[in-house]
Amino acid sequence: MRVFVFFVQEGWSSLRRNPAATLAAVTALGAVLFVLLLLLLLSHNILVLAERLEERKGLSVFLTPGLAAERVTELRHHFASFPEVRTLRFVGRAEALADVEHELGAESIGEALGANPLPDTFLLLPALEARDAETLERLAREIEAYEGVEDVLYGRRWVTALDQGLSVVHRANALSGGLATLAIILVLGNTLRLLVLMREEQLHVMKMIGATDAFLRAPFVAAGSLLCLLGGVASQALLYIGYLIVRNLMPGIRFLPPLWVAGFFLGVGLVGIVGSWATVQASLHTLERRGAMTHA
Amino acid sequence: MIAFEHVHKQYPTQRGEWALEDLQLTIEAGEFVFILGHSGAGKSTILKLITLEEHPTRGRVTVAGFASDTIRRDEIPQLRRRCGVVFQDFRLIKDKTIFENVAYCLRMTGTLEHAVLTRAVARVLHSVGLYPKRDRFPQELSGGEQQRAAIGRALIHQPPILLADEPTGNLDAATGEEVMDVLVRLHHAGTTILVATHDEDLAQRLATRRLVLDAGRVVEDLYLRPHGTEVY
Repeated sequence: MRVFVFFVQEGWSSLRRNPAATLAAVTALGAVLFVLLLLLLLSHNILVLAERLEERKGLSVFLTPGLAAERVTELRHHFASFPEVRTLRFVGRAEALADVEHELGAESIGEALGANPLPDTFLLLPALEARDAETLERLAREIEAYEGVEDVLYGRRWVTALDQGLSVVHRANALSGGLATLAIILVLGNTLRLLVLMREEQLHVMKMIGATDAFLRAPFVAAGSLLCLLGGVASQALLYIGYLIVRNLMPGIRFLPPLWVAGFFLGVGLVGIVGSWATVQASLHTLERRGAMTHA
Repeated sequence: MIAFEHVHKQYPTQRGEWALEDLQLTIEAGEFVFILGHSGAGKSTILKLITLEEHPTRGRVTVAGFASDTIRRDEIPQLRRRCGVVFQDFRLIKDKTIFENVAYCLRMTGTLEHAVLTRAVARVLHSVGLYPKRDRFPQELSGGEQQRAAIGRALIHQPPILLADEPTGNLDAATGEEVMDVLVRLHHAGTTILVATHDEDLAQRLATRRLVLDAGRVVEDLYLRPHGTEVY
């Protein structure tokens, strides 16, 4: 723990010694991370919306009119035993009519039509993992083949569109995460290279008096991680302020959940550590090679 | 303690020229060796080969049990902790106090406990006469004091070997004497010392052994005093 604190202090003091480079790096990292956070916020709100739509991904199984009660019970047992089915509800034709009348606000549709035209129906809600278009289609076809089932309906088009939309969101997230990682490594690389160059002589002396490579690298890795965390805090603060302003205009908008925020900082910290380590390693090797060329 | 076996050294920028050519040399524990020669004669190269800042192009250098042809990269820091190094231009860290400059070397070996650090640094700073100025920054000290601080830093690991590259090169005669006094005291305490210098008078006065290099070859290897003699 003492070693960790020592390296963090060393990293921090090297940042304080170069306030201009530190400020430039934090601003650049903050801007990159802000764009990433903005995309994450957008994705999060799309996913929240999609989650609500997911609940509507049910199948309506219409039964043949006049089907015997025993057969209805058999079908109920069959459908309930499907692993893809989370809930199964039987809606009798009278209940269905009452629902329609209730939804339309017209209580005498049945009387107007003379007879109830609606069939008995099973409302089937698939399990979460079975809500993709492909599984729903397979399930619908399978159920349709049962004797006593007249038709199976589900929102084929919008389910496909939703799936495709969500897949675009996930791919956009992965792409923006990858681009942000690259941008972070570029900014870190330039800043740390500058810090290494500014301490070139000191690093050479430290090597000569017996510093290990790990000891030379650690303060820079700490500095790089601190830069990333500072950039992360700045971008989160900016995003939250922006959210507070926009919330009044768009009441439905939600901020990133704590788990996402924690994941964001964890990711930024990891990229900071790995990126700094790789950059410093390369810079130190360059210094070593240059040293060998110039110490004739 | 230090052995050069048919060592050749050529730098990539010096094709066709040897910085050192077929160097055969053994230095025993407790010697006070002065290496003399013109600029480019190979004095600094010998010191760099001892710390393995440079590797021989041919031949082998053995220092305190570590051989240049078999040493692993992760063993090099251990070798360097057995060879204190003093540079002509001191190379102290400007934004750390003298205490911190010396303490930093201990920290890099994992010694972080304040009481241990303070004791060890105080011992070293007392030995070079700088304890009262421990809280000063390098630029607040004279050249001689900075060089003594650099010697203190080199001594923090209690190395059996001390290498000094033109240690008085940036100092006037009086402050140069102060620095050499410290080296003489260390020699008396049993440290093996190698000094690369242009100053023949210093060598004549203090060395137990004098090596003269010319164009990468040893042209003179003279024992001025029997081994074990204390110079004044």
